[in-house]
Amino acid sequence: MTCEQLHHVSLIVNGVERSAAVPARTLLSDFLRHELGLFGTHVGCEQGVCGACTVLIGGRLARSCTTFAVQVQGEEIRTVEGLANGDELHPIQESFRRCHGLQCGFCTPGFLMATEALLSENDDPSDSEIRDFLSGNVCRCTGYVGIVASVKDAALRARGVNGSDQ
Amino acid sequence: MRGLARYLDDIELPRMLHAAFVRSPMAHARVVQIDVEEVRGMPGVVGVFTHGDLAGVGPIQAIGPRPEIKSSLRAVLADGKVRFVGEAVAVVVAESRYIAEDACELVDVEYEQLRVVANARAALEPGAPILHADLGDNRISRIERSGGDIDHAFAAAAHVVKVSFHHGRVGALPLETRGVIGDWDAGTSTMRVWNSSQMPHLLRALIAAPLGLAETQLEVMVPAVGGAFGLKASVYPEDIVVPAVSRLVGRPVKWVEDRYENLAASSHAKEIDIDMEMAVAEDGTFLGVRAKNLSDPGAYSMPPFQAHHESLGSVNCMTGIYDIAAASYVAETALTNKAPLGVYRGVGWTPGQTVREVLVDDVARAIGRDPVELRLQNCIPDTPYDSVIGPRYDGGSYRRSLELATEMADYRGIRERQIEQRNQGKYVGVGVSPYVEPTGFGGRIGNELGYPGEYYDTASISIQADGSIYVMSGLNSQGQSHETTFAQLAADGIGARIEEVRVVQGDTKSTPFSAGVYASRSALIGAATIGRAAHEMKRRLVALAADMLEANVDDVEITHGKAFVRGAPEVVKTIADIAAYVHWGGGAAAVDLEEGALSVSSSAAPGGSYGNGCVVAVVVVDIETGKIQVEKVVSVEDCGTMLNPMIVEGQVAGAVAQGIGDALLEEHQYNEDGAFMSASLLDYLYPSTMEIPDIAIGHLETPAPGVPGGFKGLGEAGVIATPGAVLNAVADALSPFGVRVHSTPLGPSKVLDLIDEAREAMSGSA
Amino acid sequence: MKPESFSFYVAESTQHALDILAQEGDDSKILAGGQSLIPLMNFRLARPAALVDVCHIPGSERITVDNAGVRFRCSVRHRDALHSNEVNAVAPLVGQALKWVGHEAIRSRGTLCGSTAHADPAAELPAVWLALGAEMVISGPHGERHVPAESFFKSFFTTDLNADEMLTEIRVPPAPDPSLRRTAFQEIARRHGDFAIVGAAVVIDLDGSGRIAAARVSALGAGEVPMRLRSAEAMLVGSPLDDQELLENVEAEVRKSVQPPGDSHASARYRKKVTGTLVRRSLAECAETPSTYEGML
Ligand SMILES: Cc1cc2nc3c(=O)[nH]c(=O)nc-3n(C[C@H](O)[C@H](O)[C@H](O)COP(=O)(O)OP(=O)(O)OC[C@H]3O[C@@H](n4cnc5c(N)ncnc54)[C@H](O)[C@@H]3O)c2cc1C
Ligand code: FES
Ligand code: FES
Repeated sequence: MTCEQLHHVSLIVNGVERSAAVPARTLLSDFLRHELGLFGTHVGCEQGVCGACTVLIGGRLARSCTTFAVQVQGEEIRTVEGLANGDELHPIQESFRRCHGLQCGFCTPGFLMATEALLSENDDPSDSEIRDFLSGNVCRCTGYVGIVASVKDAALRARGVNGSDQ
Repeated sequence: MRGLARYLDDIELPRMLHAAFVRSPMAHARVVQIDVEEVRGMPGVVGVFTHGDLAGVGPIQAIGPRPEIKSSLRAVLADGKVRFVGEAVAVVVAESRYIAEDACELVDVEYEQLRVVANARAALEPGAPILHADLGDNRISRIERSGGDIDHAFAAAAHVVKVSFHHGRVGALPLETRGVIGDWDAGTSTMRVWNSSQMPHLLRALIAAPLGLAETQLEVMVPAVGGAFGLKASVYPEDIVVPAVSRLVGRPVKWVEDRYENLAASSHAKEIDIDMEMAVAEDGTFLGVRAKNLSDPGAYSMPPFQAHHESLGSVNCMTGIYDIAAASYVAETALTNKAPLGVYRGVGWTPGQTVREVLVDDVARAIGRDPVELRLQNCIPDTPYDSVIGPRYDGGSYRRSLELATEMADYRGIRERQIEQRNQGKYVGVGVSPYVEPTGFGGRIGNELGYPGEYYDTASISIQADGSIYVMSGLNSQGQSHETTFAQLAADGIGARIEEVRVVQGDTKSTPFSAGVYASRSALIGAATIGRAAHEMKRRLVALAADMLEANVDDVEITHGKAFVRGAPEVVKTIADIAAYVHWGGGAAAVDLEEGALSVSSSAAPGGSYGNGCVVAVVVVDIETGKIQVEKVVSVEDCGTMLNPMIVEGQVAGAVAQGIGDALLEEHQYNEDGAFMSASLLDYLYPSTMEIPDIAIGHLETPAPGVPGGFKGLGEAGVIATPGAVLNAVADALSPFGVRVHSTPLGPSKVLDLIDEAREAMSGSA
Repeated sequence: MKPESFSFYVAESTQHALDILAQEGDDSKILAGGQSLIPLMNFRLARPAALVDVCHIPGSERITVDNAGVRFRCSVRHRDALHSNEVNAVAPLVGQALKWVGHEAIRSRGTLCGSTAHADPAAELPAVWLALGAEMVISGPHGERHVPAESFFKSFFTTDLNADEMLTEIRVPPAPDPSLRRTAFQEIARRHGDFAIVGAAVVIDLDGSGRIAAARVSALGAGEVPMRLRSAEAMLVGSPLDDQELLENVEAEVRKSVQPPGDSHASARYRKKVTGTLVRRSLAECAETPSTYEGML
């Protein structure tokens, strides 16, 4: 085995251009986490099923564990680190906090990104639309009750209606 | 939430290397030889190790806590033999995980296949291959017990109803897999270990000897944990191998389990066959219950809970909430060529509860009674009650929880609509599953249930010079929100503001000893230890404030971080003022307290308490495709005094979802050759948002007597009780066909088989 | 679970992709959305020596709808087809089936051609192509060839594609009279978004009097390839669609005609039975729902 050829990968991550030289086989999840130090994107299966690694690629929901970094050369990537504005939580994060949308927090980044994608195309989703859209993200802790409530709360707030104040 | 929590794989140390394991593709084989030559020179590879290279490391010991349970050993890397698919055979340490995995593929292992023990029944057959020669045979435990006159109960019975039940093999599968970082500091002879464990102190105690270290040379730190549910409460080979190779290569080494390893080689759970029969009087009174079970614990006994935990756990609660005068059991365990069974939420109680509640429904159908009425008829009183075969319940809402849960689910209404719906081709069923569960596992309950041993935990609270408060607890959180509940407990107890409290957990060097977080221990033990320490801290603060305010101790009050003389709230001393007084103002001496004036430790060995409740499930079964949709789940919980309803509800809902997965979707499958068939998340099926309905939760509060604050534990009931409710609901929906449901999980293919079999049986008997 | 190393190329044109395949030989593979290939590589069940990313070929993401029907070029993603008003207007079966494919995050990267070339026997789209009578356009070193869907799927994960070829386009012919076409898709999966245990796709063309002029029925998960159920189709032609007895006879015929395998998710017997049920239900759905076709645009 010889040394692997490195590819210079340059991405716009959360609005900032970031680059590193990596082997072609580097998964986007590993690129974000271990090359760029963005540990908010989690890895739960590396086979596309659990959704923990979900990010937005060019504004679309995608699995970073089933994407090679070299495939998305030059594209815009959004990760959970791009949601909050400094110390100020993103409204979706606020809703997850308020409505107990997380326990261990491991699935949360994926759910937050999926919620962001859902609400950007539908600001008034029904319960069943929420459940359908989030069905590709697994949570082992919450039984989804708090998560669905959080998404509804976030949608209400996004429409300017005051959400639940539990 | 913002992606800033640090989990194990987020820790990066300078010069850190990555480990990957060579794992057995064989279920049972002799390891003839291992050739690592091709790997040694690979660029990026730093070391490759087999059992022979780890002299003096290991083994893992499982010491039988009772004479009926055999002690056994497990090598940390295969020692001449592999006993299940996925067992670790060698380890490679390299500059990256990618390279380590490349190298693993080049390690050439020669195996000589051995006959496979495919299940526990086969393990006990004469002539079966013996997994561990030194044990003599595969039966690793056999425990018998009886209470009351069981023979008389069955002789007097008008009806005897039996089930033979199989609970499938499942896995806890936290979303975050396990992980270990070892970092040997040769300068101070200290091993620093990061491990996503549920029990840092116990882990340290159990890996110190296999690593040849004193506990003071071993620091175990647990970062944020992405769920555990019992899977991270065993001692695994990697817990020892990773630190050991770090010492050998002189650099930090990280191993993060991948999902294949997690599925194949982390603990499985709950596989057991249970035969149970109930003796019933003419009027429906339960006279006696008898059980015989055989658990399949896989290839090894894993400490600290060992191989017998499922078989013993499943019979401990065999009388449930029912007043039954006689009971007996035989609980057996026999080793097989599968991954070892560990603990997973509702250990033993899940299959035990499920089989009992399924049996009660079978009884109700057999004698033509409504299953809820029959349960109420046989229910124990709400006052403390000694069961005939172990548990001594300390009082609860056994009857009321069943009534409330059925009310909330509209049980009567469902029954009324059911016939009409069936005529329209819609098969709706409702099932109930009332439970009582031990929580806050401690010495008293442990002994009642046949797990001898004492437990003790400590917490400490200290106030810094600026008035901020440390709570140190050896109990660490994996999503149970201890940071919040423990801070709340401490703040309430002290009279401080919760914002001033910081909870430190999961570091053996700075936190006091804890037996760990499992078996719903946290709430009760947290309350006992932190609650008591907080109480003592308050006493000291009041004494100090009285001194500062020149008042009588009895007149001083402290709330929300402020002390004042009752009736004169204008003059206050904040906790920060008091702390400054102690640290810089000579206050400690003034009240004649020693140096540790603002530092309190408190230990407790609470006996435990029994929580109770009831789960009701409503399902719709498509009789043409076998698809089951769970429409509604109601869970009524009595966990004593409730600390924080939102956290309680989150725990309940999560456990109910796991219970639904257990009943309908999840299964680790092996074929007859011991090949592992569930090696991906497309084969082992987690429930998603679409399989879990909205979950309604009802609360009852029966404070635990003799427990500070009256707390009982919670967190497991959903897994324990939901499968029984779901299975009963399915059998109820399919009752026109005479279907009985006696195994998990219940996939659509099995549902159609059950309908077909029942139809054939009916037409055969007609 | 990390993939083995490989050489990586971004194709600038179909010809470029073919050149790289030719140059790299049998161990090279096309990389489309990666939603099947990368999980397999992570498990090291696939170990291509070279990958050619075809998603950046200019124009390859195009969907064309005209008198000749619908053409999906090689990097059209599931999500784009699902959300395309034009596709939903003229070939609603595609969207009816795509709803069942994985989840949003999978569909936003997975491609129609990738799913088709991958040929999972439980995948939705291959059965859709059979029911719609689609045609596969294949480019190779010797030029372009056109293969009907029915001869494209050979066996488990195996198609008519050679290692040096590429699926460049999928063509769906137009309906004879869109207002008289009815389509339906049904499947059963253990869990939402998973590959089906079994499923059925149905395309019915009615005549002016409401009788079935032509029927195309296909099944997935019922064998090692998606299959047309010709004996069932034959029974349908000439009858009205709302004939209950006919539907039951078709159901029985389907059960007789398929020979599915069994696995850990469902027995062979289950698949046989439920394939029949789903064909019947799909036909009933066609009978109940009016045409959603808006005709050719
Ligand atoms: C969690 C999860 C759930 C899923 N559920 C479903 C489901 O329910 N139903 C379903 O159908 N699929 C499902 N999939 C698979 C998904 O639809 C894949 O995207 C699809 O099967 C392959 O498309 P792709 O573009 O990603 O192809 P790739 O993964 O890139 O490629 C797949 C194979 O096709 C070859 N290939 C790709 N494009 C071409 C081409 N143009 N010419 C020749 N060969 C080519 C590749 O070389 C490779 O061998 C699921 C995937 C995941 C991760
Ligand atoms: S880690 Fe990517 S989907 Fe699970
Ligand atoms: S909060 Fe733990 S997995 Fe979702």
